[in-house]
Amino acid sequence: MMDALELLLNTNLWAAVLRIATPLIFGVLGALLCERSGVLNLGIEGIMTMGAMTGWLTVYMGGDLWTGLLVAAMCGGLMGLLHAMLTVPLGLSQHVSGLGITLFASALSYYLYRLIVTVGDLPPTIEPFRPLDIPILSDIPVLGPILFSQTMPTYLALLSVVVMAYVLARTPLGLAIRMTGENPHAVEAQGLNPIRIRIGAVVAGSALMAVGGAFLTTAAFNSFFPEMVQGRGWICIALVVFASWRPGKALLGALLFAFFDAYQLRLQTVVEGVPYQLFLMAPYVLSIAALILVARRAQVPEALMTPYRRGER
Amino acid sequence: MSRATGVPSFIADVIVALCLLTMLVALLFTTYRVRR
Repeated sequence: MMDALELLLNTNLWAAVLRIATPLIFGVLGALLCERSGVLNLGIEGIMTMGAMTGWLTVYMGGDLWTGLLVAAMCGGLMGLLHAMLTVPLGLSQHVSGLGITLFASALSYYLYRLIVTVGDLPPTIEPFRPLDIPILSDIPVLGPILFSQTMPTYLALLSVVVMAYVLARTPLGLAIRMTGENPHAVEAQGLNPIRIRIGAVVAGSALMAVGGAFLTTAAFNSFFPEMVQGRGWICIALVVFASWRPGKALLGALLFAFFDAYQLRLQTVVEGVPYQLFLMAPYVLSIAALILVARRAQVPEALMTPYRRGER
Repeated sequence: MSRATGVPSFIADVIVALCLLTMLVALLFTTYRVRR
């Protein structure tokens, strides 16, 4: 019991929490942006896989790590555009389209990987992002190693939360996006085009999701393998509800899930006599419990999953 | 699907996904009527 509690005092645990939370932060921000504009994007799992593969492949083919992230964002944006074209102008089922995008993007990623890369006994690797010690700040006791010795994409993820919160809450663009998710007819009455706003939000959100996927292959690991996203996309969809569609709470939700995940990994080595599958299950069970507690008070965007048709009342 | 079409499973998965998306778009056309 004491060993399990001592783990909580270990700075490595909290540094791992931030590392594990990074792809979730990107994913949840992307899903949040889509849903704030009124479009549910269930393609997230596939888009993250596509981002993971294209980001890794770009670096493997000789590109820079940042170029890898950029290419991943562009490929994710392309998948988002496909989803947006099906669900916004055509007004098709957002659930079916999203699941179709997940199937398509995942399958296409594995196919391209197998087509382009020769896989031997071990998967080929790249040189990933290294942790960057920020001068002076990384020397602060306890907080330094946790917050200021992370890889660059982790800092980018934290910055994205601030930017997203500011854009959504304080800018005319954010107001237009939020309004499109609440009442697209009112947006049109203001002289704006809700269809363009929704398409833009879905493309930008999908690009963020893909960067989250690319983090897995360019920073967390150094190779790509099928099923490496491991349901993180679905967790992000749940976290958006947990966060009540707010970026700040989304960060908290991602950190909470990452804490459960990092803690259960370490508990497996400390607690004996308990099947490890129970520990693996714990983050998901605890997330569901947290979701039940919070989701009842969540304010769903009024026009979420409602296709907008001009002139329709 | 892979065995039925005689292609590797990765290509079969792409085909299945494309079929789903094509059916989704085809459903849209069922809401229209052909007029002469």
